Amino acid sequence: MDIQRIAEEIDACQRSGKEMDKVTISYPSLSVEEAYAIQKGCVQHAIDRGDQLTGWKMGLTSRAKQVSMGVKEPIYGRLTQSMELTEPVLHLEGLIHPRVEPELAFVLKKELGGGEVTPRDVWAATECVLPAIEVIDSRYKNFSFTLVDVIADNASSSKFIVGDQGFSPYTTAWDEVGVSMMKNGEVVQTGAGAAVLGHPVRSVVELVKMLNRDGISIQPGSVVLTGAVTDAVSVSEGDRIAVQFDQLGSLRFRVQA
Amino acid sequence: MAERVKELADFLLHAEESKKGIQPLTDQYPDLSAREAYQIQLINIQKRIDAGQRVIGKKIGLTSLPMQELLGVAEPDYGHLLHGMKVENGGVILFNDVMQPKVEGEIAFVLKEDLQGPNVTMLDVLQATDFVLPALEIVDSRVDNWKIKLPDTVADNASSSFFVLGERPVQVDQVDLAGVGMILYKNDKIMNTGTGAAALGHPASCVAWLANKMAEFDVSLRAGEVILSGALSAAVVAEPGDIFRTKIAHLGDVSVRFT
Repeated sequence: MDIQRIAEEIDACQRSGKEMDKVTISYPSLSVEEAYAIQKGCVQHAIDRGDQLTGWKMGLTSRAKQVSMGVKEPIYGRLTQSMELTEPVLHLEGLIHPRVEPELAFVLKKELGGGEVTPRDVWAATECVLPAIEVIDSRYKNFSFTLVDVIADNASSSKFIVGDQGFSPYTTAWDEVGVSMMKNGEVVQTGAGAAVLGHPVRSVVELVKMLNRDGISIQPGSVVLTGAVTDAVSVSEGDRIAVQFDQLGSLRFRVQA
Repeated sequence: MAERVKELADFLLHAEESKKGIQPLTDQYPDLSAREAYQIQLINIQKRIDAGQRVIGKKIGLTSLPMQELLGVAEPDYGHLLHGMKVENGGVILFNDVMQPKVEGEIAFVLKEDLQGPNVTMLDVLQATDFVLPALEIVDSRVDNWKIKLPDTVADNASSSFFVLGERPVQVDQVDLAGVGMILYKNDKIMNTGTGAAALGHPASCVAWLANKMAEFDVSLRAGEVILSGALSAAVVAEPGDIFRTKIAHLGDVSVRFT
């Protein structure tokens, strides 16, 4: 198996918004380690073109999703500068079948690494928490994949937007934060922070442990998308998405061609 | 009163007392209307009252879009809460007293003023509310396998069975009832989360709907009544031995155990 060649193929689809067959159709024995190597290779192509690694995202952080994928652990993906929306507009160009999910984002002020990290280490390294919306978009046909496929495809990372206002990590019970997502003015999903591994801080703990196995630490200034608070919702041209975070304001964008 | 309304009321009452599930009423009478179904509900509530029960409030059901779509309806429904349905916070429900129970986390309103529809608004509801409480509702169906259409659940007192209230009253101006997060645990595992907005966008709008709906029957909501305003997530199936807990942000915790 040629990790670099698979990484190039996925990278091309990530750039062009072209669908592809699952990697496991050609390589049914693809391992988790190989899948992360493919992911790293894909993102390296973006970095070679001038993009920058700005953070990490966690996936499969809800019990329901882990059960549906038959796994006991979440997965991670890499976030780059070009994925971040700087205006409240999601352009569909280059996307295949985008879905949106509300999240809580941690911004770090200190390096976080090692295999023994605890929630209090995470708090000590956290500058602020931000409301966020992630746009996920699988490059695989019909948004259908196995665990290793989705890891290779950068955990379906596509775009994300975070709020302008940062919040102190200490004055909000992040597991109890209510999150209500509206599409075109109608409530389509609701949830609370606890949907993310019981508490979003646990997602950062898991991320640090998983990265440590791969010899990586999280750098100061990085953003971490901790995982979906609700199920993902499909979007198409003309949709208006608004997410209300209890006592933390709202975050919105519209979808354009 | 149509003969079939009395007949179906007896049929349902017998199912509830014997704990033997029945086929949907709408299998037998596909044209059964919602209005007839509410008549059936009222007949059986009256029988409970005659037997010494007291009505202490109402529950609102079908307040989420997925539930309304599932049953093909465009509005919620309601049922009556009797004092015998109330379980203390931390209390026990015997499995002999239920059939196929499911559990939901909700916000309960306790009224300090009557609410008489029509034209009751969300603001009217908030003004008439003494306080709110976190609540668990145990829903149950006397219809086998929950194979219900709207008239089936309406006739069956909106599939109600038991409810548990928290004991710390919170004033409605202290919280954003649409924004608050709800976490539903079964045996300390998170089963579901949601917010107040899951109930028709705002729990108080469900209570307003109820006041206006009851005006159609020339009935008002009374000061002191408890109103369960609607599930904030999908209901979770309960089995003997399960402990359920809901935590609603800024309102508190409520738990119940099945044995």
